[in-house]
Amino acid sequence: MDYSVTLNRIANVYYNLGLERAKLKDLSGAAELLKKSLHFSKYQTNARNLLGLIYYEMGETADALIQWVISMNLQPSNNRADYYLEEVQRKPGQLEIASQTVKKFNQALWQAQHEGEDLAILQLNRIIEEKPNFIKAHILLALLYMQKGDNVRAGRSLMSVLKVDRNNPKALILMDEVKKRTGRAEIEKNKLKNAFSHRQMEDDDVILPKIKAQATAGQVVIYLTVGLCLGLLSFWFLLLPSIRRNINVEANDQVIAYSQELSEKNASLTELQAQYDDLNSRYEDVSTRLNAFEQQNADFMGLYQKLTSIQTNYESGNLTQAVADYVTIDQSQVTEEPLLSLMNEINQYMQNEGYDELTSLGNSAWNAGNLQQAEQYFDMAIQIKPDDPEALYLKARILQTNGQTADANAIFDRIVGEHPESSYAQRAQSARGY
Amino acid sequence: MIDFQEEIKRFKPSLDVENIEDAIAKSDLTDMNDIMMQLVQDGIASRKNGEFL
Repeated sequence: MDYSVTLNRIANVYYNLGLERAKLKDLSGAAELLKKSLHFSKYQTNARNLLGLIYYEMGETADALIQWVISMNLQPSNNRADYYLEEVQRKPGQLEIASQTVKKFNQALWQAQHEGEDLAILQLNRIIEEKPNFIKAHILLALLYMQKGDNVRAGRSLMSVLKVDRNNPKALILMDEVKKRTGRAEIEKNKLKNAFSHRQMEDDDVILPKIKAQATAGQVVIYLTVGLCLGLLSFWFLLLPSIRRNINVEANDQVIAYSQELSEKNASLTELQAQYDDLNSRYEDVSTRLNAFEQQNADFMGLYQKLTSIQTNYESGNLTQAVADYVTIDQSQVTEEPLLSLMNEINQYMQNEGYDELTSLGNSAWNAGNLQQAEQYFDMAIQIKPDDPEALYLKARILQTNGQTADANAIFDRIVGEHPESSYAQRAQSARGY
Repeated sequence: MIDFQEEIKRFKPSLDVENIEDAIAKSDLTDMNDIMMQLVQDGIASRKNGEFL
């Protein structure tokens, strides 16, 4: 029908006007226009959803929910109200908090209407603290403040309302009253008057330049001194602690670094000391063994040289030197080859041919009348064979001849005592004079 | 001059979230279209009854 289309158009027009007002934060005006839109067409879903949003923005959660639920009933699909309802219900406890806030407001309203203004003010202050955009609570609080004559706080509360709802009729009326009471209205009036009034400059008008007072020399000195003092104080109290702190931190870091380095060096030194002790011990051990070896080698070489010297002298006929060297050898030291075999060889001819040669030479010297030479040969023979009675007897006879009777008798007694079976025993007895 | 007591008395309690079901049920959703339809139906009924004859 034609009127149906017309009604929808009117509803759309009101919706558009409401939307414009809402964009300008004139929520009250927008709400009135949107309600008119819905009077013409209840199926104007956008108008109903926007009306719900405006209620929600003004702190009227229940009214907002009503509009969105109705909107969903009238247009179940493709409806923005579904999102709004989900957002409100998504946070757990949000509806419970809204319900509690409304209950507190109703309680405060009851107190305000039944001469409990002070309690109502306290309660309303708590409410707007929890819900700063609750328009109705702000306006009621402003009214109560104004009733008590506290126009400043009333003005603050009304300002909060006008921030959310720029053209709220009640807030505007009350704000005018507050301004009148505080004298603010007159000030604003004058300001407006000055702002929009102007007068053309006339020829007689003179613009006086602003004269800046010049400081005197004394003032300059004082200013400089004060500035210097302030600079020094700033440096002393603001910069110096920070510099000291930084220096201390750096010094501490360095000490820590040095301590760590020192510990590492100490550990390294201990390790090196241990290595040095070990090497020194090994060196001393090797050195001792080397010395022993060198000593042993020197002994060996010395003995070897002496044995070869005996052999050479003996073979060359220097029997005296050979025997002199031979009797000085400590044969217990000769334990290793080839010295041992060489020693055995020398022993062999010294005990036999050497000994015979010496006694023969001694006898020859004696026969030649050289008793001293003969005694030397017999001594050598005794050194080769200390227990042989022949050399002993000949030695004793030389002594007896030289008048050394006691020494000669001692040797004779020895021969008789040690070699009684020997032919020299009887001869010794004869020579002794038994 | 504002009568504060009177203004405060004009305030009505806010709707609690718990009571929105009742509020929705009681909502008057009648729009101009419904009114026009009612008027048309009333007119037809009157004509049938011969009131305009």
